[in-house]
Amino acid sequence: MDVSLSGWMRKASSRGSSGYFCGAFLFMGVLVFASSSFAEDRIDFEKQILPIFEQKCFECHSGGGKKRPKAGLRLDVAEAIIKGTKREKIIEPHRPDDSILIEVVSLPADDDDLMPPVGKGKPLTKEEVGLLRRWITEGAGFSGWLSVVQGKNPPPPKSEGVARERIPRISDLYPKLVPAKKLKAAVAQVDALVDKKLKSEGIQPFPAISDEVFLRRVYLDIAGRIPTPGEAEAFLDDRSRNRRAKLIDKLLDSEAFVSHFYNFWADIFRVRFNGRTTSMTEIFARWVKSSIRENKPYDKFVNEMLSATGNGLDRPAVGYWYRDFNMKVDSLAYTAQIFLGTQMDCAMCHDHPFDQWSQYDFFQMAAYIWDNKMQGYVPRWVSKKTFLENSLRIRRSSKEEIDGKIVAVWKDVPVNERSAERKRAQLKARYSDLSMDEIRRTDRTGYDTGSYQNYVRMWARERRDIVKERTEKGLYDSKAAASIDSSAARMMEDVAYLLGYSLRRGEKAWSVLPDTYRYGNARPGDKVLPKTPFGQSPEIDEKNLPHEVFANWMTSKENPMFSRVIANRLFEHVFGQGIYRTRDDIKVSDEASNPELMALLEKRIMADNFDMKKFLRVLYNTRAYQRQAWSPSPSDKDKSRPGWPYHYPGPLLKRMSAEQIWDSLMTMIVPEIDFRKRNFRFMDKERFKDIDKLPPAELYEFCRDIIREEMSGGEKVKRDRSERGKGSRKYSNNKAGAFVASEIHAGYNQQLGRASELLQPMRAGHFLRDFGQSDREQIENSNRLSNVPQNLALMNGFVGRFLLTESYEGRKERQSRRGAVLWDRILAEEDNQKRIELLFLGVLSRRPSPDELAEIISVVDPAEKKGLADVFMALINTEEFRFVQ
Amino acid sequence: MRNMKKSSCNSGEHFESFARRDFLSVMALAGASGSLFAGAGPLSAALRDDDGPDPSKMPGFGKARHVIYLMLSGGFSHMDSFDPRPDLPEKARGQTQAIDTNVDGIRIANWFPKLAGHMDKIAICNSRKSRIGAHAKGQYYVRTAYELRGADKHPHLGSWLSYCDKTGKKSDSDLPANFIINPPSNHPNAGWMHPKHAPLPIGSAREGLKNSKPHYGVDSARLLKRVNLSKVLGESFRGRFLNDEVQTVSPLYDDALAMMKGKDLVAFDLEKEPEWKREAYGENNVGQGLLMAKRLVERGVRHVEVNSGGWDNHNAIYEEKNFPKKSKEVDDALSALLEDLDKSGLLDETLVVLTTEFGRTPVISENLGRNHWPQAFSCLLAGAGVKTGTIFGAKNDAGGEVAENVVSTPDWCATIAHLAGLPWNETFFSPSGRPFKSGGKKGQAQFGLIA
Repeated sequence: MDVSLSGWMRKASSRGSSGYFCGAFLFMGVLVFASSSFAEDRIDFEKQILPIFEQKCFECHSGGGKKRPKAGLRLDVAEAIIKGTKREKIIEPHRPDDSILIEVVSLPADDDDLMPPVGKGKPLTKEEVGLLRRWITEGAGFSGWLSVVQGKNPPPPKSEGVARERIPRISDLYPKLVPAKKLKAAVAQVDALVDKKLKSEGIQPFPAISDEVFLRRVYLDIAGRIPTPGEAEAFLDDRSRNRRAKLIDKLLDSEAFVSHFYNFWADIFRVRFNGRTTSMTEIFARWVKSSIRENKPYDKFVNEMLSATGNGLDRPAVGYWYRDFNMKVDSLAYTAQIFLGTQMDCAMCHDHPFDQWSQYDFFQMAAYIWDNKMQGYVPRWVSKKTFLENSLRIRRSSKEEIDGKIVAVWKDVPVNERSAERKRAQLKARYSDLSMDEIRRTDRTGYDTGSYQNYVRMWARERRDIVKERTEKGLYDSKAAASIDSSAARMMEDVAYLLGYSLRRGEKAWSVLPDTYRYGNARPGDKVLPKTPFGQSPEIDEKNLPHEVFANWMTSKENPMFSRVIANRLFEHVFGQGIYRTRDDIKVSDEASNPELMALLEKRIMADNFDMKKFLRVLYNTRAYQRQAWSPSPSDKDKSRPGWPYHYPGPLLKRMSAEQIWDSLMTMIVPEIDFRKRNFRFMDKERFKDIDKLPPAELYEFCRDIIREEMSGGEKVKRDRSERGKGSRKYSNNKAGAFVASEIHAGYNQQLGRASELLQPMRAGHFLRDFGQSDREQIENSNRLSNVPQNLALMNGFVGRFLLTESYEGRKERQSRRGAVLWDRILAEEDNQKRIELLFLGVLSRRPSPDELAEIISVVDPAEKKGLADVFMALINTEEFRFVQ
Repeated sequence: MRNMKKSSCNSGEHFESFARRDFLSVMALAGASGSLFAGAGPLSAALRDDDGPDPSKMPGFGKARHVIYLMLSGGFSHMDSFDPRPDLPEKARGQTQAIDTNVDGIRIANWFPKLAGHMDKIAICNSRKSRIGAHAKGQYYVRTAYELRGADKHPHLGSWLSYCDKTGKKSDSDLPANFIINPPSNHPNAGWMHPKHAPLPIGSAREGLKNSKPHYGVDSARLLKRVNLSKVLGESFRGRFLNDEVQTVSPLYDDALAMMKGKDLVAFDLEKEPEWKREAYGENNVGQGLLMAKRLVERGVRHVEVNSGGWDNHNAIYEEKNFPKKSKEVDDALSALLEDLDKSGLLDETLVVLTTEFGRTPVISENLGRNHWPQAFSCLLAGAGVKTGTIFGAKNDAGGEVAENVVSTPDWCATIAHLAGLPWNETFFSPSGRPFKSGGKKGQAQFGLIA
C-alpha cells in the first residue's frame, strides 16, 4: 500500500465521504500463493492427507453416495473442506489448535464427539493426527487438488494430473549450432541447412533470380509496395557487388517497412478502428507502428501488451486487451494462439481432442488474467438507466478463502434506482474539482474505478445540451463559435472514452470453471488456481501480480514455444511456408520439416534477443530466398500449392496481399507515399500527457483550445483539401480522409494513402476488401483468392481513374489539380520508346523485352495519350502485376 | 472391397459450360479417364459406399434447384426464436414470449410475428447440435461439414453445388453458380476444389456489382482491346507459372466481361425492384441481401449465401439494438422472401435455409446476455422438398440439451445437400488424393425434415 493511497483516504475522509470508496480499499489483501511446486518436506495433501480422509471419514463425509453427508460436511471436495459443516468451519489455516478438525479427532475415546464415532471406524493414529496438524500449520493447502472424482465415472482421459509430454526446445537437440555473430556467417548457416536438406531429399534448388525479379520481390516483401521508377533505376543501375544487401538494409530501415510490417501484425491482432468510439484501438495501432519503427524486441513488444494496465492514452498497449473487451476466455485463447502457436479455443469448452491440452489446463492458464476488467465502459447501447447505474456502481471488497489463503473478492453492488438521482448529485459533488489523476493515484495498482470517466461523460453530454439550447436561443455570435463549443463537448466525450477504457487488473488469481464443465476432476463453478500449461509455474505474490507473472512466463527465453512460434512465423513471412506446417496450431506431436534449420532459427532469434529486423535481414540475404519462386510442373496433379513438407528450393509464389496491391497502385499516384500519414487528434502524446490532471471544466477549456486550433488551420492539424469535393465528402466527415497536411501531398484525394493509414479495416466493398483485406474478426483472416469483382475493380474501378489523372495548372489555385506521379512523368517524356519503358518500370519494375515493345507498338500509338493509357491499364491487369514472383 | 460406382456428379455433361476457359483441365481429364477408378484422378473420381443408401432414390432428392442460405454469424439464440420457453423462469426465458403461428400447435418467439404467418412453408429443426463453441471454427464447420483443422481446406456447400452442377447453368445465364453477399473475410470458399468454384462475393447488396461500367470515354471495344493486350503481355508469365491461382485470373476476365455485357447484370440492381418491396425486405444488409439473392435465383444462380453478423449477444441481449433489432430484420426479410418466392412459384424449386454456427445459453448471463451454446439450438428450412409446417427434434425441458433426434452439423449439411441434389454419401478425391464428402464424413440426411 503506498503513501498516496493513505493520503487520498485522508483527503476523502476529510470531505466527509468515507462512504463506499474507502470500503473498496480497506482490504488490500496480501496474497501469498502456495505455488504448485511445494518444497519436498511439505505435506502433500493428495498423497498424505486425502488417504486418511478416505479411510476414516468418507463413509459419512463424502458426496456421491446414497446417504447425505453427515452435518453437511464433505471431505472429498476442496471447497467443501474449506467450507466446513453446515454451521462452522473445521479448519483454521495455520492454527491447528483452533481447528475443530484437530479437536474432534484427538478427543478421548469415550467422548461422544470423537471422530470417527465409536463403531464407525478406528480412531486416527498419532501419526495421522500429526500429519493433519502439520498440514494445517502449513496453511492447509491443496496443491491444485480440487475434488475426488465423483461417482462411478472413470477418470477422464485428459485432466489435471495426467503426465504430459515435455515440450522440448528444439535447439537443445542440436547443440552444435552456434549462432554466428556476423551477418555473412549467419546467412551462410541458414543456406547450408536448406541446401543440406535439399540434397538429402534429392531436390534440385531453383535457379537464382535476376536483379529485376529481386528488386520487385524485395520491395513487395519488405516495403509492401513496388518501387517507383526512380527507385527501380537506382538499384538496376547500381553495379556494386553488395547492392542486394544494401537494398535490404535500406528497405528494412525505411518508413515503408513500418507500414508493411504493421499490416502483418494488424491482421494478427485484428486491429479495428472504423467507428466513432475507437480512438482506443487507433492509439494501439500507432503504438504497434512506433514499436516497429524503433525495432522493439519481440519479447518486450509482447510483454508490454500482455502486462499493460491503465488507459490507452497512458499505455497504448492496453489496446491488445481492449480488442476482446471483457471476454477473458476468448482473449486468452487468442493469446495462446498468437504467441504459443497453440489453439486452445477447443479447450474453452472441452478437452482438446487432438492435442494434449485439457479444459482444465485452459482454466488454469485463464486464472492469470481472470481478474482483468475493462473499466468505465458504458457502451452506446446501454440505456440511460443502465448508464446511471453503471456510473454509480459501488465496488466493495470482502475476504474469501481459497485453499486456506485469504484473498480479496471485489463485488459490484449496483445502487438502487430510487436513490440514483441523489447518488448522482453526490458523485458530482465529490468529483467536480478532483481530477482523474487524483482518483487514479488512490489505487496501488494504478487502476481507476471508472466512475470519474462516466462523470466526465455526463458532464460533456450536459454541455452539449447547453450548447444546443444556446444555439436555439441564438446566444452565439457566429456559427463557428457554436460549432467550437459543440465539437469541444464531443471531443471531451472522446477523451472520457479514451481515459475511460481502462484495464484494471485485480489481485484475484483464480478462474471459475464454466457451467458446462463435464470432467470428473472438478465441478462446474469450482475455482481453479493459476498454473502455466508447461514449464515452471512462477510464484504469484504481492510484488508479482498474476498478469505480470503470466507475461513474464510467456515472453521468457525459457518458454520454448514463444521463440519457436515467432521464428517460424517470420520464416513463413519471408518464404511463404513455415517450417512447421501451420504457424499457430503447432501441436506437441508436430514435426518441423527441417528440424535442424528450425533449431538454428530458434537459437538465432534468442541470441539476437528477439530482434526481429536482424532476423529478417538474415533471411532476406540468403541464397534460398533469392531463388525463383515455386511453380508446378505440367505433370503435377495438384497445382494449388507444393505438398507438405516443403524444402525450399525457392520461396513460394504469392498473389500480392490486398494491402500490397493497393499500396503499389498508390505508389504510382501519390509522391512520397510512405510519408503520407493519418491524422489523429491524440497523436501528440506530450500534449495530452497531463490531460487526466484536469478537472472537467478545465478539460473542456483544453478541448476548446484544440478545436479552435484545428478550425483556424493551425499548423499541426490542418487537413489538406480534397481534390474532388463530391467523392470525398463522405470520407472527410469521418477520420478516413484526414491526413497530416504536407506540401508535397497537398491536392491529392483523401481516399489515397497507404492501407496502413486508412480505416482499419476498410468497409466491405472497398477495393482493399475485394482483394481480401481481413475483416479483422479472426486472427489472420486476410485472403489472396481471386474473383470477378477484383478484375472489375482493376478494369473499371476508381483507382484506375486516379492512375490516369494529369496535373493541371488552373488560373486560380482552386482549379489546379495534382496528377498521378507516374502518369505525369510518362507524359513529360517525349521519346515514345522511353514512355513505354517507363511504364514497364513503373508497373512491373522491369524494362520491356524487344518482343513486348514490338507487340505494343503494333497495337497502339504511344505518342497518343489514349494508346498509352490502354497499355497502362493492360499492364495493371496482368498476372505479373498481381503476383510476387 | 467396396463396389465403386461411377460418380453421379462431375460426369462429362457439364464440361461444355467450362470448355471456354478450362480446356487444359478438360484435356487433363480426357487423358486420365482411365484413372477414374484409381481414386485420384486429376479432377476427381467419386466412389459411393455400397452399404449406404442411394440418395437419389430417396424422397426429396434434388428437389431444390436453388439454395438461399441465410447465415446468422455469431450464434443465434434458440430460446428467443424457434424454441421459446414461456413457462420457464425469467432467468431462462428472458423477455421472450411465445406466439401462435399459422400452423396449429407450433409456437415461436414474439420477435418473429411475420414469420409466424409463414410457418406452413417452414420446417423448424429444434435439435441442432454442434461440437464447436468458437465462432471461426463453428462457422467453418457448419458451412463445410468438416472441422477446421491444420492445413486442409474444405469447400462450402455452394462450391459443392458448382462443382457437381451436371445440368450446367441455365443456357442463357451469364452468371456463375455460386454467390455470397456480405462475405466474411476468409471463408467460405472452394477449399481443395479449383478456385472457379469459389463464391462470387458481393461486398454489399446495396452497392450491387460494383465497377460494372467502363471508365468514362472507354467503350466496350476499347475495354476489350485493353483486356486482350493484357492477356498477350501476360502470356509469358502464365507460361512460367502453372499455379492454379495464376491460371484462374485470366478466365475471370472473360467472366467479368460477360457479366458486364450480359442482360443478367440487372440482377444486381435493386433499384429495379419497386420501392415498397425494397422496404418490405428491409433497408439493411439482411433485407437487401435476400432481395438480391431472390433476383439472382430468378436468373438461374444455384447458391446464394447471405451472411449476417451481429448475433453474438454476450451483453444485454434484449437491448433494442441487439436481438430485437436484428430479429426484426430477419423477420421482415425472410417473410418477404418466402412470400415473394411463393407468389412467383420459385419456392417449389428453391430451398431457403436459416442457419448459425451454434446457439446461445438457455440461461441469461450476468451481463444480461447469453453466451455460446453448441449443445442444442434451432435452425430453419423452408421451401422445396421440405416437410413444411413441422417441428423436427426437441430439446429437454430446460431447453439446454437435445432430447430427441439429434441433428449434428454434418447431418444438417447432408440434409441440405440431399435437397439440393448432391450425392452426399459419395466420396470425392481432391487433387492430392484425399477423400471428401459433401455432407462430411458421417453426415446423414435427416428425412424427418424432408417431405
